[in-house]
Amino acid sequence: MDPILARLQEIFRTVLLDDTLTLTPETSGKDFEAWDSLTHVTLMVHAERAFKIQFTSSEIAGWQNAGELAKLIENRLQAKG
Amino acid sequence: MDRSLDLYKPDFWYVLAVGVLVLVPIVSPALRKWAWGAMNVAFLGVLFGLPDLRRASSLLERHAVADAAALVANSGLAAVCMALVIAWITLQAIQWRRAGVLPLFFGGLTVAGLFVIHKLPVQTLYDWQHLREALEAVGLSGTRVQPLKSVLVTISFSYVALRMAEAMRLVYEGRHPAPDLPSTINYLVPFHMLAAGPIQAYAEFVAQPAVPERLTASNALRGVERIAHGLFKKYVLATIVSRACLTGFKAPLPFLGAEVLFFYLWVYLDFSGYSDITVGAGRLLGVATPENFNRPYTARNLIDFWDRWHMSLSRFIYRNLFIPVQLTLLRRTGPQAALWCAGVAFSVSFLLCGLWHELNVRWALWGVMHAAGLVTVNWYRAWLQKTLSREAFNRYRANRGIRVAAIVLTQVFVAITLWVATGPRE
Repeated sequence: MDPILARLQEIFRTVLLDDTLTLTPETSGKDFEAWDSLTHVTLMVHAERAFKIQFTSSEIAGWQNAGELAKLIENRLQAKG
Repeated sequence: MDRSLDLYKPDFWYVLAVGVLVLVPIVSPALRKWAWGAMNVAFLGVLFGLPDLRRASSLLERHAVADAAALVANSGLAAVCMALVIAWITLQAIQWRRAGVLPLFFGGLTVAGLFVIHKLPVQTLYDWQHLREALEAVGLSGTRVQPLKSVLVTISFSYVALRMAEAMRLVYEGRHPAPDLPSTINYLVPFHMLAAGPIQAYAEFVAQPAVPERLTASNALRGVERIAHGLFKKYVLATIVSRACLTGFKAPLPFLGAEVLFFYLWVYLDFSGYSDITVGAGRLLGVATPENFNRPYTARNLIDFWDRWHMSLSRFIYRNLFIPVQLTLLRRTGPQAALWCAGVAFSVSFLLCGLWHELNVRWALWGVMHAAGLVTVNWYRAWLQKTLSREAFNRYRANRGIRVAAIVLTQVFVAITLWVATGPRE
């Protein structure tokens, strides 16, 4: 599993209170009832802390699935050096 | 005279038919953009009527150039066209980094000022001394405010204001380039979304293909079918509900509760019917038009409700108010305070959402009620998750009886808040 996706999976399990949750690049909000617009922002703040990066408001609302989020984080980490 | 968009009148349908005939064969992106812009301006011409060019020409013959210019400039169409050019220049200036925050400040202040003029009665505007002085300082004496207000009402400025606000923010943040003149027109005043939205996200507007896929017979049929569906909801079902069940809340007490529910049903049929018509028209025109409703009557709580009702507005609030407020608070407090942060974000978002509908106490109360409802749902859900095991929580969610009760409770709550906001005024 991609290391960014693996770290995201831990975060998602913590926030969505689901220890069995498996994250794939295609996983989206539609796959979990507990993942709504509200928990979405909390997920992103957890991700910001874990990867020591910051997202803009547009980025937070702008991704559709876990793969896109992982890509966004990868780009941000590369830009950081 | 009320010149706001009325789908009973043939104007909208003429422009839609001409728009489809003109736009569908165009394959050049630049030509399509300009043609769509011209179509939107033409519709404004239909709404406002053209300036009296014969009189302007006779004034010119008498060398009264200033009077002729004033006659044209004072027409609603010219005023909106000038405002669109100013909006375009403002967005270009916001993009111009050297100007700093000044163009954004000017744009924001202008949009906010026009919004206040749009929403407040003229008398109220002039009853407040500071507001009166501010209006007079920019040359808006009492006799000039009413025509301006009439223009703003005709184009449903509250929707235009939200589109402009989002475009300004995203251009300022450097997320998207400033639009050119035809794109500014097409984003701010698309004729089929003019009356009551939907509010297209600026990012979606930018991302849509410059030339849509060719309109196939089946796609055209789906567009027409969607319009027919909307017309049936808006002009048949909503009319039946209105005539049979609504009395303007004059029903005696035992029946008032039923009327409150029927009023909510009428609002849904009327508004979602209109939204169906815009989505169908957008499909025919090849213009991306966001969905506004997704079976809100099945929502089992208020969070779910706002993911289904007036979705283009709730997503606008989510992107531009809720996320920035919650994010700022969460970064300061940490994710462990998520519930409190969400509570503040809900309160700010829905108070402003209420005041966006109407600048009065009743709509502010509507916003407070929705914020309180959303906070309650959020806390209740967190409490359930903390108290119940995962299996028990899933059983709770799947329980049919609880689901039905939750849906009924949600719908009744929404209906009551609507009555609070729009019910009879003494």
